[in-house]
Amino acid sequence: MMFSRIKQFTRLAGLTAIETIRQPICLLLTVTCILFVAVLPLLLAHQLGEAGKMVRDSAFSLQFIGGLLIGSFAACSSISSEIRSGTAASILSKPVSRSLFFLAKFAGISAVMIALCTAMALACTISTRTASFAYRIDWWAASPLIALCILALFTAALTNYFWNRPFASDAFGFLIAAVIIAFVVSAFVGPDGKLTSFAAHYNLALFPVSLLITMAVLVLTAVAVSLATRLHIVPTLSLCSALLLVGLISDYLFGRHAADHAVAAFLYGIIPNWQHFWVVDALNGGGSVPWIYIGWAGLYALVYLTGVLALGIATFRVMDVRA
Amino acid sequence: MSDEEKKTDVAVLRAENLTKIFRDFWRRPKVKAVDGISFEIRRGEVFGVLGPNGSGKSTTLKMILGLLFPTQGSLEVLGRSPKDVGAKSRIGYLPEESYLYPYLTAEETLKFYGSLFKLSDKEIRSRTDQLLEMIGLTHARRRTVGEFSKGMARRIGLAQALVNDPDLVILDEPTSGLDPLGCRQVKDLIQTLSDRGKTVLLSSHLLADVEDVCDRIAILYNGRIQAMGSIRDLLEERHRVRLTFPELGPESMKAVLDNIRRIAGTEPDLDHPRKDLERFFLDVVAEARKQYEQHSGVSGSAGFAGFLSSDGTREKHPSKE
Ligand SMILES: Nc1ncnc2c1ncn2[C@@H]1O[C@H](COP(=O)(O)OP(=O)(O)OP(=O)(O)O)[C@@H](O)[C@H]1O
Ligand SMILES: [Mg+2]
Repeated sequence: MMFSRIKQFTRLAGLTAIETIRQPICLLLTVTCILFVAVLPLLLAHQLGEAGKMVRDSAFSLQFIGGLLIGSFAACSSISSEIRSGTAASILSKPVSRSLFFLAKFAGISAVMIALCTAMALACTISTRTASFAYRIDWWAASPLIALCILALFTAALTNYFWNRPFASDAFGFLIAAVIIAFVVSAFVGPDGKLTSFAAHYNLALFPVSLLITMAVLVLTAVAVSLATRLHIVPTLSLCSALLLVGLISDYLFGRHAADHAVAAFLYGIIPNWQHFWVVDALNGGGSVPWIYIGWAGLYALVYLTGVLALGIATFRVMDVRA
Repeated sequence: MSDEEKKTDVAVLRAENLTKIFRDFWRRPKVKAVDGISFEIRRGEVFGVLGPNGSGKSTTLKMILGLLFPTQGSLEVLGRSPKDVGAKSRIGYLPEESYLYPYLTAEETLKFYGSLFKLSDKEIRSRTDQLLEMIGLTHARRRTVGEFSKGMARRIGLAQALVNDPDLVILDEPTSGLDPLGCRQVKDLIQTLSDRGKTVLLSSHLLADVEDVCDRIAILYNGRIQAMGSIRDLLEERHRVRLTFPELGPESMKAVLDNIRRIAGTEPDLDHPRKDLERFFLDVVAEARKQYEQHSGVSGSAGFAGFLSSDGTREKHPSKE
């Protein structure tokens, strides 16, 4: 019984992930995010030493926004569209429980989000290095990334032409691989073109920052998946964006009044405070994010995630699946 | 009916005062799609739900599958509530419109649906092959479902519904989108399933299809059952008889008719029996197929999937899981 549940779960989650990356919109957003981060240092060169910081901040914002957009699109295409088209009905008429269906959908989309966030973290690390010198571009960091990304898209076109493989999902996979390879290649080469020890010129303190953003993205994805059981893409995206905005300024909106207003305190508690996951400023002046902080933030994210998913399951279980 | 003895009085499905009201976003009642219907389907029966568009057929089927929750009334499917996930391993469902994952191939689609059941990989593979053979799509097994024609997708939908060798098969307009060959095949398939003691519940508004295969029907209108009973009881004109015999010469014909007039005291109707269009079409296509060995759509298929037509013994005991 347990085994067949696990098998159902992995099949459904895997199919969800594949269907997600087969959506052209997902590829479009991914390519935009990664290429933007890759070429940003070239555009921002000559910014009087601030370029590294600007690249870093923009890349992390893009990870947040890209995660929100792709998560919402994926949730809607694999849940609300499937419910409307009857695909969900054909699966739920098999011995698949609604909670398993819901969780598998979330897991599949999350896998894609994690791949995306990983690529964004690597690309951000590379580009921050590219832009770390005043008046000079570190081409040993920039060129492998840009070249490999373009090569990835080109390869996907070839596999489509010769083997009739789906372009979008191949391109997505190759793109992620390209970023990883670029990261490894540049890790061995210093700005002067000489071999160095692995990752000597990367600022590895960027990874914990990216990890925290990934957690926030997963919470947002969970919200999008829950909303997508009832709503179409536009309302889902609007609500998620609103939640992101409100959560970003929740200290200002509700935090100040939480001590003397019960409503403010309630809202302050119930709306995820994204500021907890946005710690990039801690890096200024060579600082880093303490591991204990990451642990607490992870716990915070986990509590939200569990709450949102539990709510999503509870409403999905009693919902009419109208095909 | 030859298979009368296979049918038992075990109720596979029992609906009582079933009602479904669709509500809008604010939970205000909008449509009463199904309005207090009650019926019972027994094991081995082929039960047809008929009715014009929007009469509540699909809504009824979806409530049976636990996709929609009844507003009122009770439902018992295979002795359990439709909410019970376990019972679904013995149910097969063909939705009204078969939207499949467009990027999966025919083969991957069936394997995926098979993997949702407690079946070994070997079993899934062999059933997939048999089902593809049965629906005549073996040659298209590696093509993605997204590029299939409507009828081809429908065939995959049908195969998908049978992958678990279900005891209760629920088909929502099984013949819609199929060519006459496909229709005939589906009807034969339904007959085969019923002969094996499977229960079939189907909805349709194609009366000829229903007449061919159903033992009992219910006619829905506006969410209510307007008529229900066995096809024979509902349609047979018991006080009239039809005789068929070879063409006779004018003399003998006159003698026969005169006799009838004298004995029955009424004027008999006289006409030549006609092939129905379905029979005629099937003959024409069979003739044509001999000439074209292959064509791009659906190829002729050989019989039924083995696991569906073999006379299993497992199905004889529906009460245990
Ligand atoms: N999701 C829904 N929301 C609101 N009303 C619905 C919904 N689904 C069906 N209805 C309404 O319920 C009634 C019955 O619909 P149903 O789909 O059961 O009809 P049907 O008999 O299957 O028709 P058809 O022959 O066209 O398939 C219709 O009036 C329809 O408008
Ligand atoms: Mg219908």
